[in-house]
Amino acid sequence: MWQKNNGKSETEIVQYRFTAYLAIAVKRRRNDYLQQQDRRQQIESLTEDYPFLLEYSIEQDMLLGLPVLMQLEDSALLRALKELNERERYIFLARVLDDKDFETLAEETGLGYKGVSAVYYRTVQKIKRKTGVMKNEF
Amino acid sequence: MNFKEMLLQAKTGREQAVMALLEMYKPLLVKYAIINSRFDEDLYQELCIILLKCIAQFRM
Repeated sequence: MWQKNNGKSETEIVQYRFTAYLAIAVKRRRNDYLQQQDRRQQIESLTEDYPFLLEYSIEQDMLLGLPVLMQLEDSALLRALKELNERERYIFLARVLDDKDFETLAEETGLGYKGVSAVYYRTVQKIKRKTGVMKNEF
Repeated sequence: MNFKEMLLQAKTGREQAVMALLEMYKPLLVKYAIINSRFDEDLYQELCIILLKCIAQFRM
């Protein structure tokens, strides 16, 4: 049962496929779990006393490393931004706040014009969805 | 008993086969249940449930 899998016979292929299938499902569940935990922590920290809250929110903004986000009061938006990956966040903020056009961004990131615009519009969709979901939750 | 037979038996709900699969994939589940280099018991339980779901839903 514990022999090395050479991926030759039919049963070995089935085993490979099942393992891959399982690994993807497990990774997704793990990500969901981490997000849930994150959200729970934020809600818990909101009920803590005020000085702690202040400290926490500053720490959070430092994490993002963007001074603009210090002024953000909409926590749903902040959370949505935090969940984006580095590239999406950069492209979105550069476009919205710095008014950079897709061509300059394409040069900076090494993507094509279409690639940048695709990332941008996908990010907008993601943010809309996430902030929408947040509103329904509370 | 080879893997395919075991999976088929697990699909029909034979406990022995399910346990064998769980035992077999334990290292994978443990690996993904570690958060910040700490083993998260709850997440491990969740991942065990995912394994059971995967066994039921996997199409040969």
